[in-house]
Amino acid sequence: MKVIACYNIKGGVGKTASTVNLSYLAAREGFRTLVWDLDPQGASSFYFRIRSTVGQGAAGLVRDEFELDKVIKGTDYENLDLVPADFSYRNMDLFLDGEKKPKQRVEKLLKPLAERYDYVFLDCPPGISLLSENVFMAADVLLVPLIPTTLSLRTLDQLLQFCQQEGLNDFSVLPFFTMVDARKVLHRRIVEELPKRMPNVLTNHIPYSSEIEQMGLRRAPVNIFAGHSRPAQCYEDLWWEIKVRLEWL
Amino acid sequence: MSLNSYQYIMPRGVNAEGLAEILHGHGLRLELQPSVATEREFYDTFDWRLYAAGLVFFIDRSRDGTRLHLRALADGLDIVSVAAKEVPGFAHELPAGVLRDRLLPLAESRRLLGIASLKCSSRCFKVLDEENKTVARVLIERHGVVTGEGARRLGLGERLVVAPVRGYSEPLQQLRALFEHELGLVRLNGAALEEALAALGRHPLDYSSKLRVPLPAGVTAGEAARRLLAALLNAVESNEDGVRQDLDPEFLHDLRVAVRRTRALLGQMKEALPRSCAHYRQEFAWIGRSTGAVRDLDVQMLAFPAHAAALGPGGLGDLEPLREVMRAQRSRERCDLLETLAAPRYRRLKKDWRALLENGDAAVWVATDEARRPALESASAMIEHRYHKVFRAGVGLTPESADTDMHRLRMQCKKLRYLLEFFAPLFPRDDIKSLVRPLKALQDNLGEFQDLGVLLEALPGYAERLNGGERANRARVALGLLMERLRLRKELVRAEFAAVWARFAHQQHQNRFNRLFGSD
Ligand SMILES: Nc1ncnc2c1ncn2[C@@H]1O[C@H](COP(=O)(O)OP(=O)(O)OP(=O)(O)O)[C@@H](O)[C@H]1O
Ligand SMILES: [Mg+2]
Repeated sequence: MKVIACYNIKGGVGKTASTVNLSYLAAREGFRTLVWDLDPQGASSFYFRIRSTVGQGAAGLVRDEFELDKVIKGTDYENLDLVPADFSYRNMDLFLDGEKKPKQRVEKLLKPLAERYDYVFLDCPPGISLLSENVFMAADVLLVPLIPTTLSLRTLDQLLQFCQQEGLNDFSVLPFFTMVDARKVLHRRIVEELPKRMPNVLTNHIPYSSEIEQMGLRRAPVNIFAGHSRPAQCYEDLWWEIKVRLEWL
Repeated sequence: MSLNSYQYIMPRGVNAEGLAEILHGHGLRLELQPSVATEREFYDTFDWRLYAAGLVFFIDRSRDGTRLHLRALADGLDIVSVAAKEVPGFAHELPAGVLRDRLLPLAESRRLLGIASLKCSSRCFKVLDEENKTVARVLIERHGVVTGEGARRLGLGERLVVAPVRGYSEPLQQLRALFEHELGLVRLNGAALEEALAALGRHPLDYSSKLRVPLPAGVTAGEAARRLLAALLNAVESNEDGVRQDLDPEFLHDLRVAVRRTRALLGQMKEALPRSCAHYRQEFAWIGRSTGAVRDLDVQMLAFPAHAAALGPGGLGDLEPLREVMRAQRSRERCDLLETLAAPRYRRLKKDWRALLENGDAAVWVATDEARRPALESASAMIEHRYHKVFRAGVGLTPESADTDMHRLRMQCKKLRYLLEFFAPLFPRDDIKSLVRPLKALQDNLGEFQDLGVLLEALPGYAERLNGGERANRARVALGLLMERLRLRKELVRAEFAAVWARFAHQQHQNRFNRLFGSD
């Protein structure tokens, strides 16, 4: 089982869109795939038409007898399951804080599923918190969607700095560009320049496109309703590149 | 993850529209999908290793793509389902993953063969919740078996399938209650494999390399021999096609085992058999001789990767030129083998032999006193006699004994083993089992010793046929290392012999032999 976290300190950068599309592609290839929607807003649950719960999610997560298995839902796609978000995740830090090992809860909950799934995608809320530190502990890779703007680059640097401070380097950080607008000079320049100083950056990127915007209306991965569109192809290429990188781990 | 699906016989007189009406009537929100045509092909090894392990392996091809499924027979649950283009010839050719991990230890070097094809057209109703999320699927499936030429289809009737979605148990319960209690539908199991095979006039487990000939309690020696020999002839013929097509090495192995068992029986029961059997004994010896060379090469080539792996990474690559020589040699030997199988002499042998076994004058099988004796009696005598021979051949062996003495013991062990297999049904199962176990361990030891000896003798000959060049030189160097390893291994196997023999010759086993087969 490989755990792939879609994460960025910054919000609205395409974490959820990428989680939904990449997890679907993994499942389509036959990999047994699980998405865990860790964002209390429940955006990826919404895309998969699965209602997020308004329950004791966060409190449940820290209870000893809690099993993730019990709350897994099948999506409409073969091999693709989802742990829906819970509204109480917004207070997650409060619950985690009382724990003995507050940073290892997510990892511990995933452990019993190691034989059942090939890939687990974590759709993370933005920001740095106890929850995101849990994600860093559990993940094999951090996929970091980046809009090619100067501000985005700053948050990426912040993230890398944070990881270094915390001594977190047993996962790989794989940034990739999203919402790239080829008409913008700045976008083009950053897409070209960043890989030169940061070789980890993935070479495939996702263009700004109306098909991705439509995912909210269609409530489905883009490959389902616009399989031949450019962004759908781009997500396929990106997924291929991620798999190749994962083999190197 | 797929879940257990529930299958029922479709009620008569109900079609898709009728079903939709019923479901609507129960307040379910439905979306009818366009109908999908699927072709399903079942695969197993010739000797049903997957089915025997409680598994069904099949490929489904439809507009939505091609998927491999490995399903448990017991609960109809998919263990794995992966997208793939086709079923590879052998399990080791599957991409790394759960499927390969499950299949390889079972199928080993046996080819995965198509055993039956189904055509299935299905219509699917999605059951939706208020978010238009699928919470269950109801399918109407119509299966037809594809029979060989002309792809004639035999209808297998319609089934109604409820496929649940993980985490949505309520709609599942509702559907089950409707179908099972209100409509009283009959549950079905499995992936329709048995039905497909039955329609083709076959049934699972119709071949096994184990000899399984039931012998009734009071059977005479002559009649027992006739039944055993007939089963062995069937085994020879069952494997011919696979040998001709070179599907996998086990076909030739099984054919040769059947031939050897036939010869052993003809030799050991001479007095109870019709006179003409002497002639057939010679003919079967001829088949044994003409198939030996290919089998020897198969054994060597099967063991090769394991030996080469011991040389470290690159070992197998370096030795590749040698394997090429072996492969070339094998295809030459195979020509001779195919000639034998096509020879009129071979055809005549089988025809006459079958006539004698099946249609011939029944009296010839009970012509002598020996033939009329109860099989239990003569089997006991033969086994006891053979057991003593094994003992005499093995008891004085030391690490210094000649290889030929080891070989003599090996041949005696084989004959004893065959007798125990032939007549096992006449004796208590557990007794036979506990006698066979140490015997098998002894045979494994002697067999490996023999195989290593043959390989060590053959390898220099192959090396002579390497051409010049860098590649060949590397192969020669690797071969030197390999031979060194093989010699060490051979010594080790020889050193282990004493312990294996001691276990076989243990007083407890001797007592058991005497109790079961002793004449007093
Ligand atoms: N490649 C793209 N082209 C156009 N619009 C996009 C693209 N990717 C994402 N979007 C849109 O941008 C918005 C934010 O995307 P998304 O929800 O995936 O980001 P996020 O990082 O998960 O956000 P949050 O931090 O709120 O969880 C969404 O409305 C989405 O439809
Ligand atoms: Mg999001």
